[in-house]
Amino acid sequence: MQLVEAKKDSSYVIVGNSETGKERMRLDSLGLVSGEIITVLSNSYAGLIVDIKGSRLAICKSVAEKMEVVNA
Amino acid sequence: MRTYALIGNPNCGKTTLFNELTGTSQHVGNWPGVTVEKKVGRLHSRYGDAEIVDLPGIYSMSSYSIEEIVSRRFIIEEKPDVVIDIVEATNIERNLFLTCQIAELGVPMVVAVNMMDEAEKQGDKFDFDTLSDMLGLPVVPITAAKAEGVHELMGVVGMSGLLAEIENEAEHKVHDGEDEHGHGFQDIEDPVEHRIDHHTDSKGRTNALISEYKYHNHYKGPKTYQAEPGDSLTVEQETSNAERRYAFIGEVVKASVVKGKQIGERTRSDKIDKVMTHPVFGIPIFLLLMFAMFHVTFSENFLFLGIDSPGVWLQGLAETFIGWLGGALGTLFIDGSWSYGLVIDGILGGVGAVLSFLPQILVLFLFLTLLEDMGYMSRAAFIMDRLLRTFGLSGKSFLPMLMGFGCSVPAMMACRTMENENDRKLTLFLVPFMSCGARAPILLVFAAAFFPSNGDLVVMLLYVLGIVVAILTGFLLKKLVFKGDITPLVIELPKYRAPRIKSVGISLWQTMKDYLRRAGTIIFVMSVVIWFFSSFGFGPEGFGLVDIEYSMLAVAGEAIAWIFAPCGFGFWVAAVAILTGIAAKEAVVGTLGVLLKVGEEEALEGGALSGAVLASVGFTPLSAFAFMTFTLLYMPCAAAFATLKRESNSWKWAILQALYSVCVAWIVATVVFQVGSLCGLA
Repeated sequence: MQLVEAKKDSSYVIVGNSETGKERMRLDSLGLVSGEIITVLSNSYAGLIVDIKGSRLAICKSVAEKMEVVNA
Repeated sequence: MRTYALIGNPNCGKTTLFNELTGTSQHVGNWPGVTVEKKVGRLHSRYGDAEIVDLPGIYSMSSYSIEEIVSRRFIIEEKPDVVIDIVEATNIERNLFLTCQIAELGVPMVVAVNMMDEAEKQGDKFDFDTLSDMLGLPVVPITAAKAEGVHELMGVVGMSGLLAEIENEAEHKVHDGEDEHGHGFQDIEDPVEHRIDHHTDSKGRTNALISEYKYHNHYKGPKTYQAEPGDSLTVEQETSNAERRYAFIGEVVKASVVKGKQIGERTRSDKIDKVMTHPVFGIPIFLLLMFAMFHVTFSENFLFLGIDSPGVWLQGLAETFIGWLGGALGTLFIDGSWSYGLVIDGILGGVGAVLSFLPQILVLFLFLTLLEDMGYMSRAAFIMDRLLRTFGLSGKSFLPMLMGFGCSVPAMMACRTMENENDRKLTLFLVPFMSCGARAPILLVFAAAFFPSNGDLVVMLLYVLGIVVAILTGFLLKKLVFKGDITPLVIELPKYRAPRIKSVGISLWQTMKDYLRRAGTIIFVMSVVIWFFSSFGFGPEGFGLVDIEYSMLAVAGEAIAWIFAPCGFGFWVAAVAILTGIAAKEAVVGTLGVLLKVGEEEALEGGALSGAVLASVGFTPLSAFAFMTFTLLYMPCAAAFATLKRESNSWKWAILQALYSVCVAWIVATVVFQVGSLCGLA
C-alpha cells in the first residue's frame, strides 16, 4: 500500500520508494529507506507526521504517494 | 594554529557549542536552517589556541543544497585538523548517518554526543565504549547548553589533532634488517610511536599518548560506493549506500543504546502537535499567534481593558526619555541658530524618532524568538504547505518568508537550505514582501497616529497583506517563469523546548545592537544630510538658511511628488521619505522626524510624530494607510538588495525584484486610496 493510505498510530515497514533524483536522495539520508519501520502519528489534509528512528518528519502527500509500505 | 570544524545535523546544537567554545554570541534557533554559512571563532584553552569553524547544519554530505556544498568543500578542500561531529543524543540513529559519511572521507574526527541531559530525561542509556569501539571513532558525551563534557571533548579533540599532526609530519621510516634465520625484512616504524620516543620526557606522558592512540579515525562502517573526483554517484548507488549505512547504524545503536521510549511512543511534543498542526485549527492558531504578537506590541487597548500593551507602554517611556534629552540639549543652543537646527531638528529629530521605537521592536522580536526557540516555525511551514501548494509554492518557502519578519538579509540567506534552484530563486524574490523589523517603525508611527484604538489589527492586516502579495507573486512567477513540479515538503519537526533565557537574550541583544548600530550610523548620517538639504536652499536673498519650503529638498521632492498623487500622498515630504527608505527602511521615520521638526517638538513639548503633525503635511487616515501599504511593499533596502543580488548571483533578478515591487506597491497603494475614496473614507 502507499504510505498516503496509512492509518494514524500504526507502524509500517518501508518496502519501496518511486521518488527519483535529489528528492529521493534527501529521503534516503533522512532514513526513509527500505526495511525501516515508520510510525504514522497523523495523516490529514495537511500531510503526514511520521516517527522514523525517533525523529518526527512532516511529509507532504505527494511524497507519501510514492512510498510503498506494508504493515509492520 | 589548528582548525577544528563543527559539523552535524540541523538543530543538533552546533552553534550552542560554538558559542560555548569561542565565547561569542551567535544566534541559536530551534528549527532547521539557522546557520547557513560558516562562522569562525577563536578558542583559547589549556589545550592550545585553535580556530573553530561552525559549518551549516546538514543531513548528508551529498551536494544537493548550498549549505551541503559549503560543508563538504570545507572538509575536503580546507582540511581542518579535526572534525567535531555533533550528534543529537535523542536522535542518534538519524544523526549517525552523517557521521558515517564524514568518517568515510578518512578525516581526523571526534563524535560529540550532545543533549545528553534530554536523553537521560527520557530514560535513554548509552554504552559509549561500545559505541566508540563499533564505530571505530572517539566518542564523547556532552551537554553543550550546560557546558557539560565540553572540557573532556576538547581534550580528546586536542589529542586527535596532535596525533593527526604527528602522522602528517612523520615519515614512515623503513629499516632493512635480517632475522635470526638470515631472512631479510623491512620494519616500518610507526610514526606516532616514533614521535613519542623522541619527545616523551616522562613515562607518564608516553603512556598517556600511547593510550590515546585509539583516537584516530579507524572507522569500521560498511564499504560504500565512492565517487571518483569530479564524478558523482548514481541514485541507485546512493540508495544502496544509504541502506548499508543505516543497517550498520542499526547494529551499532542496538548494541550501545537502550532507548527509554519505544519507537512510535507519543512524546509531549506529539501531544502539543495534535493541536498546533491540527488540519482544521492549525492555520487559525497560526493567525491567532500572529495577532497575539501584534496585540502585545502595538495595542493601546491591551486585553480589551483600555490600557496600553507592554510594547506601547515601553515606547511611551522611550519617547519621554528622548523628550527630556531634547529639552536638556535645547538649552545648550541658541534657538533658531544653525547648530540648534542640526542637533535638535536634524540629529534628535531623525535618530530620536527611530530610537523611540526600539522597545517595541524588542517586544516584537521577543515574540518571534520565543516562537522560534520553542520549535514552532517548522510547524508553521507544514500547516501552510497545503495552502501554498494550491498557489504552486512549497511550504519550504514559508520558513525563509517567516524569517523575513525579522530581517530580509538572513531570511534570503536561509534560502540556501532549499535544494531546488528554481524554488530558491523564487523564494528570494518573495522574501522582501514580508514586513521586516526595519519597516515596523513606519507601521507603528502611522498606526499610533491614525488608528490608535485598533492599531494592532491594522498592523496585522498589513503583515498579512505582505504574505498575500508574496503568495500571489509566487503563483504568477510559477506560471510564467518557473514552470514545473512543486518541490515536495519533507521537513524535520524539532521537539518543542522551553525557551532558553540565554538564547533569547542573545537574540534580543543582537537585534538591539543592530538597531542601535544602524541608528548611530546610516540613520545619523542621513538625518544630517536630510537636515542640510531641508534647511539650505536658494531663498529671496540667495543661497543660505531658508524656510523649509524653499529648501533644496523641497524643490527636489516637489519634482517627484506627483508620482504619488494617485496613492493619496502626493506631497514632497512623503516622496522624500520614500526615497530615503531605499537606503534603510528606518530612514523613512527618521526623515519624517527631521522634516516635520519632531526634535523641536520633543524639545519643547515632549511630542512625537503624532497624527496632528502628520496631518499638517496632508496625511489623512486613508492616505496614511495607503502610505503604509506602499512602504510595506516597495523595493528592499540597500542591504537586502545587495543580498538578493549575491544570493541569486544575478543583477537582473535583483533589479527585476526592485522594479516589480515598486510597481506592485504603487498599484496596491493606489487601489487602497482610490477605492477608499470612492467608499467615502477619504
